[in-house]
Amino acid sequence: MTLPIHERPTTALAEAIRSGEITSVGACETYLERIGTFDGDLNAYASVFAESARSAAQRADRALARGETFGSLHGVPIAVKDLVAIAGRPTLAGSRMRTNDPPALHDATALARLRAAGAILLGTLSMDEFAAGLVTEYTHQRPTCNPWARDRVAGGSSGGSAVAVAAGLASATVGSDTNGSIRVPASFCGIVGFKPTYGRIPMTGITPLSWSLDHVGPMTRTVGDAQLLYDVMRDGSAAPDARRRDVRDDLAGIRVGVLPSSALELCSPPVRAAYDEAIEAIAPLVRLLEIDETVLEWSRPASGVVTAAEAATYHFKDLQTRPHQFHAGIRSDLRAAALLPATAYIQAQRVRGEVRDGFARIFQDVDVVFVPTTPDTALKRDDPDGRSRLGHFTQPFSFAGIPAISLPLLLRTGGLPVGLTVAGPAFGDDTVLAVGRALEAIGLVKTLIPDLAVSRSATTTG
Amino acid sequence: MTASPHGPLHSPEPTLERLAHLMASTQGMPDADPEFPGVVASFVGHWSAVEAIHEIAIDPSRGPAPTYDPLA
Repeated sequence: MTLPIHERPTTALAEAIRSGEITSVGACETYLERIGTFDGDLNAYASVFAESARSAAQRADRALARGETFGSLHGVPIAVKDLVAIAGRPTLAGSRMRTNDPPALHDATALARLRAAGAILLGTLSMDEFAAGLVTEYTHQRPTCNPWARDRVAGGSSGGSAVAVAAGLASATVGSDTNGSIRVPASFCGIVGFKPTYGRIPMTGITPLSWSLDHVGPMTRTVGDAQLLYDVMRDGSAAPDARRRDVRDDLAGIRVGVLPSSALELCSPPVRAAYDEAIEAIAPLVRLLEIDETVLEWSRPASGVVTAAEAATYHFKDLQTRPHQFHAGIRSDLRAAALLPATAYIQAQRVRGEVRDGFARIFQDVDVVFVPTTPDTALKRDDPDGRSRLGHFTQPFSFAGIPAISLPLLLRTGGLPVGLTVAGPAFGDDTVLAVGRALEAIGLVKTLIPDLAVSRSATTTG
Repeated sequence: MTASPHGPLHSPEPTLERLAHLMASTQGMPDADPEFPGVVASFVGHWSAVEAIHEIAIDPSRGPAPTYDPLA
């Protein structure tokens, strides 16, 4: 059975456009129509560029008719987080403080590479202001809703990027991740979110939150889609990485690091059950080893200090001159962060060296590590409970700069999505992606499409 | 007890709140700012992380990573 356009993986949609089965204009109109129908409730998009997207799609179709193909994403409609520079537009980063900024002169490098590969830009996606959150509620626009239950948060700060993929409002999206901002919303919305090794995708043209922690990465329906966008953003060619040797697409014999029970006590029952079932399912195929959780414990406070200090440094002038223009949800935290002494940042960076070495020791014994992406499923909106621990399992991997992908577990019992993180050593991006593909192949991981009419009425009546 | 003549940091029982007040005032944030209590509360939250990382035993000869480099 042929899938509707909005349910097709990006790799399949790209192939359908290249083969002439569907046109880029047709794909573009499908997504624009769905945005018009559903985004009034979901608020995934900050801005929609309908006319420029249609024009670009027409150019793509005309080129194909002449026998020209721009690249591996020829004619595929995508969207990017609101902090990605787009030539000719101010980069708002979810803030009203940037409304009168001059337009960007160039696309961010990641976006330029996606467009050079033929991608069509549908618009920009909602986020917590300046990426300083994990919920996509700290926004001057309306909060972004979870498509599985609209009374729950989408996760953040790349919440719009996750919702657009989950709800079929773009074929794939780009997010950014400092402490979990790709992986947390991917987990809450039931999609794939990949944070590569630090620096693998250039940050040029991406508004920073914390320079030494910021990553940019793909948010997609399948692992194969994440690989495709990663390859394009990494070097623009979608050519295999030279490091991608000896990477197998199966699980046979790989060594998987798992958490001891004590490290999972903070998980909610649905997350704990889903994680345990996943480990049980792969146990006959792999070699399981418990890892030392110390690096996870050390990472959280140190990562928090580094993020706070770097973010406050970036915003220092505005915090002094116009603090009340920041969103109330992030203002006090940023102002307080500006008061941290240098000793705190230096000690946090010393801890970082220990964490990096700790992970290096772990990856001498295992090939990848499996952890729950978040301790809870999507949290209730306007409910502070659980927010302080959202980054518990995501911060260590961004703090160490190592690759981590959140994958949507296929739950036997239904319920809200649960993400499984697969992390690997520095520059083990292709291994992490290969293990993700293997988990898809055995049916452990799958992105489902939420019934948007049901999730809307559940909120209305509930 | 009487307040120290030397200011908040030299009070008999210096507290984190006093530290936050002093540091905030040096950056032009007056105590009268209606958001000051929230900033102090956030600072106290940040400080719990600061205390936690100073509890971690690290070889004294080891300095901070000047930049992050996964290959280092």
